Amino acid sequence: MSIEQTNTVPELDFNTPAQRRLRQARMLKDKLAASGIAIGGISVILAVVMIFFYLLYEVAPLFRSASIEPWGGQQEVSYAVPGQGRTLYLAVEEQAEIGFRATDRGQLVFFDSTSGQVLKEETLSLPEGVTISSFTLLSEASQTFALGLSDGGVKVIKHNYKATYPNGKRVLIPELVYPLGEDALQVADGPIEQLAVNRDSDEWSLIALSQGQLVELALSMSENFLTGEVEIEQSSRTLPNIGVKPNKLLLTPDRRWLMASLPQGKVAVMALGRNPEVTQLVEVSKTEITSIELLLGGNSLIIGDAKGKLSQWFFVRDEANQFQLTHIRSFEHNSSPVINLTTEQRRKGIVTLAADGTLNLYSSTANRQALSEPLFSGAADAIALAPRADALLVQHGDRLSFWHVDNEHPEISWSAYWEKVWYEGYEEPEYVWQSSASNNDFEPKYSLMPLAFGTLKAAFYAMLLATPLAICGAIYTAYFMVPAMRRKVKPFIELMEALPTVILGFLAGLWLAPFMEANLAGIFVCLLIIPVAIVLFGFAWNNMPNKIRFLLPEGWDAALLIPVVILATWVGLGLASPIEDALFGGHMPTWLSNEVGIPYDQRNALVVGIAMGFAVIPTIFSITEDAIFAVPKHLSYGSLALGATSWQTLTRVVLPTASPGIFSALMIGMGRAVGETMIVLMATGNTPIMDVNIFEGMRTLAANIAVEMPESEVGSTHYRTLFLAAFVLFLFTFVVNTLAEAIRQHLRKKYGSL
Amino acid sequence: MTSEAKTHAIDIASMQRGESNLNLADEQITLQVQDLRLSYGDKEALHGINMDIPKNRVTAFIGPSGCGKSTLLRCFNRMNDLVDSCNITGKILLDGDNIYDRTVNVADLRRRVGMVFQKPNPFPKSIYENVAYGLRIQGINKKRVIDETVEWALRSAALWDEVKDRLHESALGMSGGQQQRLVIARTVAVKPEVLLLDEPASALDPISTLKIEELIHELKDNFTIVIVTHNMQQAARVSDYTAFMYMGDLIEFGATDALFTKPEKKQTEDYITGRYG
Repeated sequence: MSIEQTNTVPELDFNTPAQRRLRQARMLKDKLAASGIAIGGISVILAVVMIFFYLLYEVAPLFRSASIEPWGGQQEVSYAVPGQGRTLYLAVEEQAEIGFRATDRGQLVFFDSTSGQVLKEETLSLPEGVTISSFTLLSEASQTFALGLSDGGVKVIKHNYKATYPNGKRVLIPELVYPLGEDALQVADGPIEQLAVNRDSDEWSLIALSQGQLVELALSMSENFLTGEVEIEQSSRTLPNIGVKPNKLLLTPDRRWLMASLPQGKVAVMALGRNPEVTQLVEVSKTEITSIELLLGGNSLIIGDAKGKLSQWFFVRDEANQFQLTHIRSFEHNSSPVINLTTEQRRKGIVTLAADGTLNLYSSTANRQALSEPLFSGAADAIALAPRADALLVQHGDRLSFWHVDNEHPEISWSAYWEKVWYEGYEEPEYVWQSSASNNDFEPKYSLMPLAFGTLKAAFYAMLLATPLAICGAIYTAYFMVPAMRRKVKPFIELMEALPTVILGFLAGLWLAPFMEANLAGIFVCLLIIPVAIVLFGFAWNNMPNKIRFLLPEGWDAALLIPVVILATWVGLGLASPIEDALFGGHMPTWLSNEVGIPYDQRNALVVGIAMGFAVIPTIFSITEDAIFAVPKHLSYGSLALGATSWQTLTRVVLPTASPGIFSALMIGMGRAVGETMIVLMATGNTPIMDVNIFEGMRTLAANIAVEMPESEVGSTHYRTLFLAAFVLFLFTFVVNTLAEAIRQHLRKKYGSL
Repeated sequence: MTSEAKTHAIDIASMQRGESNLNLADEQITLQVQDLRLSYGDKEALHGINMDIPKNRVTAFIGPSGCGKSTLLRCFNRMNDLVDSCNITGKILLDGDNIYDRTVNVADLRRRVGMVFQKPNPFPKSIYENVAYGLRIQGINKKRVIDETVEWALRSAALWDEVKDRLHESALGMSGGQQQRLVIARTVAVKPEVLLLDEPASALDPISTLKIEELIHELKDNFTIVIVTHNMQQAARVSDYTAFMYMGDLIEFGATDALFTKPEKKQTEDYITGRYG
């Protein structure tokens, strides 16, 4: 068998110039490929890191603390107080360019907020001998205040600013507006000692304390649609006595409640209504109340006392369906009495100046002290916060100082995001996500808990469906199926992964959800019938005469289950109607809601579980199948050769060995379910509620970002909160995937020498 | 080298083999192969094999690669069932019963006819659990029984002294030779009647090989052993009977001494003198 022909050695020269060039080119290609691949890998890591830092960059301002500095930089802006007399009211206009001051001598002065230069000055024309005896502010945001006179008259005044653009430059022209006419309204006969005014669009209410009597004057303004004249309807009544002389009266904008601050830390609450009566006498403080104001929106009472305590109160309905003024929260505080207190005009924020000259910024929702900084030594006389909460005007003796406040996101804190918060109007602390509403004095509710809960709920139900199906399918495909069939089944299931989730979501939301509502009983019957049918068919097929069994090539019997499943589904849906009629009064969702008390939403967790489970199955299936198939054949042969059955080999050798792969498949599937957006967006109803009920919807972090990002103002707290949600989501999937990979690597090392 | 070595590569006389003058006619027969044909798809790999495997002896299958010796070995415990498109006709009788009968429980058959593979394949479990595995799948869970059997099996496989202090460590940390002896212990633990060894030492170093060969010697008192090997010296050293196979046919089968010293067929002589293979 040897080669007999003469065999000459071919001449080969490996050192020709062409060969050398080729070698160099080969080296170059090798290096290029190596560096190209390295660059690619590093870029991917870099991209992930950059996404991480970008999210962090957008989120970081949320947690920056507030600061205050003199307006325009280092130099303190301070000037003599314009106008004479004691300050009743101090305010700053929107652009923080013009300040306004009203004094007890009836002087109304507009001045440049940075220099104190008087821009416009008016003095109220009061009859001889009449003085201003009381003052009240409707609300900071309304820029409207009322003066009670010693003759029983009341003047309501609003300071207003008109923007004009002469020569293309913006010039603000301040003006005074009298919404109820320039003449004083006669509310009482004697001097007005205390006054409370508020309005709800065209309905006004003026309550005055005069000569120990509480008098209410109600005004209703209506425009005559023919003449365009404003007609005012007046009615007056006497209110019950409080008994003690109040220090201050406050009226809610809906004119339902009058609250009187009394000595010794008490507040009297009077329900106005048809038959006015004092309903509550609350001890809000152990000492004297030093300042009391309504928070933006007029729903909450903010009370500061002589010990420096600051607390929030609002009306909560009790078991007897009565509204009670209830203590909601206390704020961190200094021990110095709260002298000046003003509220923000656009947010639920509070600014206080204590007797020791310390400035405090608070946010009521977040229950947080945003800033505490000593400004002066000693108490200030008046403070005013600009509408944008970026400028602060403080009167300290006969000087005014002007400050810049940087307090972008006071309403954010750990507790606002992750703990129960007692929001205005709620009966108890709750987790609520409600980022916007139609009115301006709305309290945004940024609890991430309902979203995180919804995310996990959706993922849970999806995994509940996907895990057994995908893993059992993978076991069968990898371990029992004939290779010819496996070659067809595996790519087919993996193809499912390529299906755009928007199509799955569309089908789930627009087809499956209504179908399920109409056939709920049928779905459950199918869930019961299909497994039973599969087992029964397997049993029957196994006991079939060989003649029939051998018609099918060995290992293809699984294909016979397809018609069985279809038939079982058809029978299940067919049975649904009689079962619903017999047991559930004809319609299962209605029966569930009415008889069992389980609310049923059309877009619910079951729909999402099925649709998203369907989306997650290919991921889990594919990785699990690979893991099981990769278990070395010699291991299972070793087990079989010892007399183990296929099942024993599977459960005792193959599955334990494949467990790292199966585990990482589950984790990656979980990561996918958590981050999935389109399906949950279209099929959950996006209701941010916290309820494990499978028949109710949810809102997930991902869907929430998709829904709200387009309509959130860039740079706002809402916008940054959405980024925070994205960051949480990113961290969650990153941690889950990293953990999965780490455990997989660890287990792989353990089984590595196979 | 003697002059005889030029014609016969194996010097049987120098091997100090215990028994000689064996005769198949005197032996008790454990396995009988009757006209066994096996085909993978259209390709026939075994063309009608007839042979008797004697009890408590070591029978070696030798032959060039692809001759069908491993395939034949796998027929004895029906491992070929796991191969797709494998078709078998003929009979193999184990103690007189056809193992290819429809009523035969394959898992039970494989317990009675144990098999050790070319590459050591311990399970990713502890040494103890590897040996106990065969018992556990038979439903034996009494700790005392398992402890005793594990020790006995490890002693049978000459492994006890090396591993008795680390029974609960992973089997994957052992050397290749130890792993292979562990696999033998694992197989021995379920007390099979026949032990099939498919080139058990081909992946091992010479010292481990020697240990395995000594072990085979020890084990034949209790088991009927069939070994497939590429290594003719090994066949000559360990076996009592040798079967030479070529291209799916059994060419010659007889006592090892006789086969290696006085082969009856030209093909056998060519092979054992190294002309091919």
